[in-house]
Amino acid sequence: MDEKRNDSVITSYPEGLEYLAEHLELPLPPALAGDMEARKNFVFSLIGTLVRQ
Amino acid sequence: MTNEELRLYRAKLFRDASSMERKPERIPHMSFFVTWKILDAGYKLSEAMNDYGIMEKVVRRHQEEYGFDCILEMGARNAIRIPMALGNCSYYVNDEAGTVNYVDKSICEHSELRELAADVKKFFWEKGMARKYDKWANGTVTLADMQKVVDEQASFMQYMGRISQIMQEEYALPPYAAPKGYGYIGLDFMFNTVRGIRGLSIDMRKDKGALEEACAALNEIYYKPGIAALRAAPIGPAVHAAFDYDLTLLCHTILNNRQFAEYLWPYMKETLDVLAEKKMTVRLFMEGSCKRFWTYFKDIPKGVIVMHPEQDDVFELRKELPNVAILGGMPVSLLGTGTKEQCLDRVKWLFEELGKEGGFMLTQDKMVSFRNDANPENVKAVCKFVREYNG
Repeated sequence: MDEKRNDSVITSYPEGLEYLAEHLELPLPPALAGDMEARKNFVFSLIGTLVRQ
Repeated sequence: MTNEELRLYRAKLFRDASSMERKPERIPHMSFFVTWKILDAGYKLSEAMNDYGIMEKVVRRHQEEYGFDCILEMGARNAIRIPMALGNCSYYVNDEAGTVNYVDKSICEHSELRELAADVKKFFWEKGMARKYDKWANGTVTLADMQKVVDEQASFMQYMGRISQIMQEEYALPPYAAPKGYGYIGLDFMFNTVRGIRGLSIDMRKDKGALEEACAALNEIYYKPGIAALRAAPIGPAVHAAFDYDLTLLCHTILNNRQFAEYLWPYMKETLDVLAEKKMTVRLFMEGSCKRFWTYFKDIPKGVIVMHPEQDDVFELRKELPNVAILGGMPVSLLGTGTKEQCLDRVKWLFEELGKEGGFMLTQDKMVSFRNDANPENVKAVCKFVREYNG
């Protein structure tokens, strides 16, 4: 239930970006894995890819 | 020759031809075969596009069968598995016809251009995604869905790394390009993704101010950081690769000269100037015809541009732009419907007219996509002729 409520923020910006950056398992190098800015950049880059596809 | 020596030899063929200072030992041959190679290998498009193991077999076979000096496309086009992780995509794969169609869908209305300009990230996130993906639009997307997207993206990157390594190490092919940064020009982004052909045509006539604001906002995110990275790169070409940079453009097809000068050329010129300063070479592929813009390229120094014309005549190009190296010359229409002799006559003519002093590399004029685009026997004959030509 909690997860469903959290998932509902995915489509809002910037809440969705923060939520995904925090919870997704991202293939980042270990040095960047805990860096929230790097995580957000990765997730937004992914959204950019999806919009272009 | 060891594989490493052969790979560097092949890269040097392209580098020498691109430089326009030295005649290469022989004229290099690039593969611009895209989905055709899947069909040629006996697979359905959907099979190869959904299975990287099959795609690897397709790319391996393509080189084993024909023997090019470089392969431009190794299965990266139409990466449908990434968007399909969210349930739908804009590609329609028709296995029976052997075709892939892309829906020219606008994700932004004309009346929303200023909203896009105000916050690109918010717009893409809340409106762009909703207009592309049903799950995003109806609010049912989950963290698990997005994890699938991340995993698919990672699989795709792993495939690209693997196939690139295989083709370099086992098949001695140089990488096609080695960009040290890439600036995606805002107007082309608008054309390809945001507004589509019809939408952008309207924007340029209806409210130029809003279009300029939207392009400027896209340039901040997608163009400027790439150019800054290129500027920060060390001087000198990546001699292990055929080229340093790729600039493929589509939006110019709807531009007149005034619009080209206003919206596109300033960014192209900036990119070309940085490449010239870095002593780097770009493959410039302007789809359709770009003849009406050739005059802009007259002052670019030799060694910077390798122009790959799709519809324009290569002989006329050489005459009008002697400062530009040429990649191209082999019409797909001839490979598909001509005889072997006609194909070879064309190659001989190209080599004698354009290749004598260097500055010429052979490839197909269009992305070879459909089953009937090329007769395999013609492709084999051309590849063999190029490898053995000693003019």
